[in-house]
Amino acid sequence: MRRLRAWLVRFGGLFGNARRERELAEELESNLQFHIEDNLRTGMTRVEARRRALIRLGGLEQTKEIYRDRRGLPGVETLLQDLRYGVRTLRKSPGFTTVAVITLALGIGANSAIFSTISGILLRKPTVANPDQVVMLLSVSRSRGLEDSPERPASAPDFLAWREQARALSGMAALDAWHDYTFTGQGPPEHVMGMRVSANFFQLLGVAAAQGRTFLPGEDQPGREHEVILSHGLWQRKSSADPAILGKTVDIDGQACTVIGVMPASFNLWIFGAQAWTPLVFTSNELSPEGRKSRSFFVVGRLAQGITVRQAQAEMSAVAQRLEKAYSEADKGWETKLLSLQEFEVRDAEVRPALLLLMAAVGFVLLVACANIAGLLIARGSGRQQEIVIRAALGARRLRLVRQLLAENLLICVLGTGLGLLLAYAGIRVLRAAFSFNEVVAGIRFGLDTDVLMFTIALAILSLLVFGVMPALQLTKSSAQPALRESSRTGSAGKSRMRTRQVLVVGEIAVSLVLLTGAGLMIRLFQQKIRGDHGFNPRQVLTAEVALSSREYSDAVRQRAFFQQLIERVRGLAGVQAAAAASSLPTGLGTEALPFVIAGRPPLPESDRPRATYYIVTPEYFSTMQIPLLQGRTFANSDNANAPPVVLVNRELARQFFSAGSPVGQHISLGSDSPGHSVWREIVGVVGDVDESVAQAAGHPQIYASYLQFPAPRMSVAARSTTTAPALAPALRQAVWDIDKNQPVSNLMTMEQVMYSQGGGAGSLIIGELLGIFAGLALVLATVGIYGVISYLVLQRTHEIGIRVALGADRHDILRMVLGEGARLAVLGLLFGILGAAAVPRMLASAFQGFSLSPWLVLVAALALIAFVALSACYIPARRASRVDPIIALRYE
Amino acid sequence: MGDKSDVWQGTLALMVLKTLETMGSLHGYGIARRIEQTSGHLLALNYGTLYPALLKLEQEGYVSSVWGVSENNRKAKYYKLTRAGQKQLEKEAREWEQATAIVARFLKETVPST
Repeated sequence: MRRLRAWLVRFGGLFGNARRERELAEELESNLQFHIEDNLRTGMTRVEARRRALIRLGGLEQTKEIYRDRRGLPGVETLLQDLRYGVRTLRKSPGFTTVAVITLALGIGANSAIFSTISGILLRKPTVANPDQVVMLLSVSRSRGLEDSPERPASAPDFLAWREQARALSGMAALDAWHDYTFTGQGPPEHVMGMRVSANFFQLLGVAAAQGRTFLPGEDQPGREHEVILSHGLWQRKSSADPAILGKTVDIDGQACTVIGVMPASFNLWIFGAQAWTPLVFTSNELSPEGRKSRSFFVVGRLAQGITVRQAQAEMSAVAQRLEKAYSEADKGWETKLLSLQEFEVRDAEVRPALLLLMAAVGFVLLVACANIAGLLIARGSGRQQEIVIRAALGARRLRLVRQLLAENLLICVLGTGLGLLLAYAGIRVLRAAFSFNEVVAGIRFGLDTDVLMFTIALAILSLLVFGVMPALQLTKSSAQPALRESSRTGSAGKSRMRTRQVLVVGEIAVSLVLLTGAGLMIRLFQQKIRGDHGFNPRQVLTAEVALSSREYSDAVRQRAFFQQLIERVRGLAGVQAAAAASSLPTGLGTEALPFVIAGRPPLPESDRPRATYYIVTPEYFSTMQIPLLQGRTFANSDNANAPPVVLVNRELARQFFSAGSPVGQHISLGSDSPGHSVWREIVGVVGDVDESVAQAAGHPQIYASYLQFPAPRMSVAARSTTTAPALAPALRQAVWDIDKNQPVSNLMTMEQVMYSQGGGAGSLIIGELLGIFAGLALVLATVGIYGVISYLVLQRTHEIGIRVALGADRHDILRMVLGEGARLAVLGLLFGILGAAAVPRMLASAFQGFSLSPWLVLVAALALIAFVALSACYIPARRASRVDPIIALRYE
Repeated sequence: MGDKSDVWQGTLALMVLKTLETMGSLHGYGIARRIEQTSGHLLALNYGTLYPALLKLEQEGYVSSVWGVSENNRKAKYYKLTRAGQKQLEKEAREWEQATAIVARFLKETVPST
């Protein structure tokens, strides 16, 4: 207790130093005086009295020291002292301080931002109760006919069978995802992404509604399903967060539905991107034996207590086998696969390779940053050698010296970390904006991950301390003498330190080259993707999606009439060169692959039939999109409902299936035709291949049907502008509303934007940009590193340079000498870098399909850039060296 | 060095407390002089070492100090025993006597009578 009191008083003793010093001095003085008086009384002389008194008092300074130590908390005081000294020293070398702080900040900030993004997107647990227990069940085809994606959702009868037979899962629900609703009733009509779900869907996931309720069992039966649940975002946006939304009626796809609930903002299965949920009622068609073949319902399930995924998988495989035997026509060759919801969410997103690549880039930059800091600290350490050695000789203990260096480094850490935090927050915002190129991805919320931040900070501090303290430990180990004698002339210890720095710089240059090459390749990839040839001309084309509601436009006649009118109107608009409509755009979403049969060839079972992507287009489509006609003719207005059905095929289909002769005149029937009623369509022409995604490597067979013969309710309109595409936007929208004012127009964007957002081009652009930033960072850091090393080198050799100049070397000789040193380092670094950069294309190819760029151009460009930058960095110190006054140099130690 | 100086400081503190108990309020020099006298001039301490010890006692609350004026009109800091200090003195004195009694017994015993 007493000791605590003492400690507290001592803590208070940290302050008010001056006063206490004075008091002590006064006390000691008075003690002295008393003693002198006593001595005088005993008869000594004044001088003798004073002398004796002083002796008995003991060492004044020592007493004061001990007193001071006891008065305050010596540890804390020395720390404060060290910090103050550290601040002074750092301010004296602002260059070093700035560079060290910025380097640290960049490392921490960039690293934390990227890793937070990655963990936010890739490692995020789905927002359901006990997410590890929730699984998705998929149907997997064993046959090779479906190379596109062997994994598909389930059919309605299969789902019911699974649900009934599975014991390992405590519950299952089906979902019809990515359902496009026409949402009317709260503001202008709009297309909203939604899901139809089984009644137990929400209960299975363990999420409750934020307002109102979720579905009750039995509400997914016909007659009771006119209900809708809104997402938080939809409620806010469309209904302006109307608190009395429950019970109101909205129009979903023409059906009046009551709003029974609003989901909380936190509920977001982003892979589905649903904003509204309605009950899923299976139609009799879907439940029929034919319907067993149509696999479009995703199934989600929850594992029963204590059951693992593997056990559930085993049971479901057995169930699938039973179904195969029972329903051999529909289910032959189909297995069941289970994966956790989290895996499912991440698997389909194209962001995974992008993020992993970024992680690698960040790792590199971190390396470079660490190397830089290490180099800086090493240089600094050797510069202060003399100071440290002298202090040691004057009596400073090793611990004290090390502690003082630690304090300095701590200051740098604190500054760098603070700046790094700011950078991290800013970086996360930038990344969030960058990653909203995709509606799917934009729905994910991620923030700065505190774990990552802590880890990075710890790492940075650790490396800083290690590299900062090592010199101190080293220096204080050796005895003072040789160190004091040591000057830059000899300096054997200095040489090994120099070597380390040189190695570091070579490494930095190599890493910069690798990063730059990677960035350059990604950017070129993007350019190639977007601006490359995809089989059509995307420039100056405006597109929009118009999906007619099935209630208003229930039959083909009305659908056809609408679009015919629309295309007429759009073509007549000012500034429109050509206009057309298609069921889906090139590189856009919404394509269907249908199996087809060529007349006169041996029949194949449906699962083995070849597939082609099926487009329904208006006659002017090919001229609007500037897709070349290679054989035969395109559609004409005469190919209407009364004429025999015709199709166009693309070059790839002709190549694969009609290698013997021209396909024109042959007949094809498509899987979408009603069974038993194969409609033989005549091939009237061959058109050029069109890419279905920006990253597409090889051609796909494609079949076009004429809209006049096979109308569809949902088409994308494309209009080629004589000027710029966005100029047509208001007129295009108005043209639609002139025909039907309640018809929503969605996804109004230029063709290039479609390629960017739907065609998969965005990923590589963003990666390219981010990689470019990192490469730039690495380059800047490497430049600073080279500059530092060369300056240091020049400093070390100032004496030698002085001699050379005195002996007759002129400025250019010195310049050449220093530049030569720098060039040597740069060349070495570049050589190593080339080795590393050679691996980059292979890495990128494995991550991104369709990557087939030759790296040489980019590599050479990167080489040139780095070489230029490196030599520039050497130039300044070289110039300084050449201007050195020999007299000063000769005296320099 | 650690152990010995702690013991020494403890002993010094004890002596200071006892002196203050006997003499009442006293300044630093007076305490030092008195300790010298009481020890029969066998103890010759550096007066300087007294001040850190006094500071420690003050921090622990066993003594209190106040600036005052001596007989010859000289300014000096006077120290006084507090109640806590009194108790501590009694406690430490007891412990010291116990310790010496035990050691004395040992010393008596180890000499076998021949």
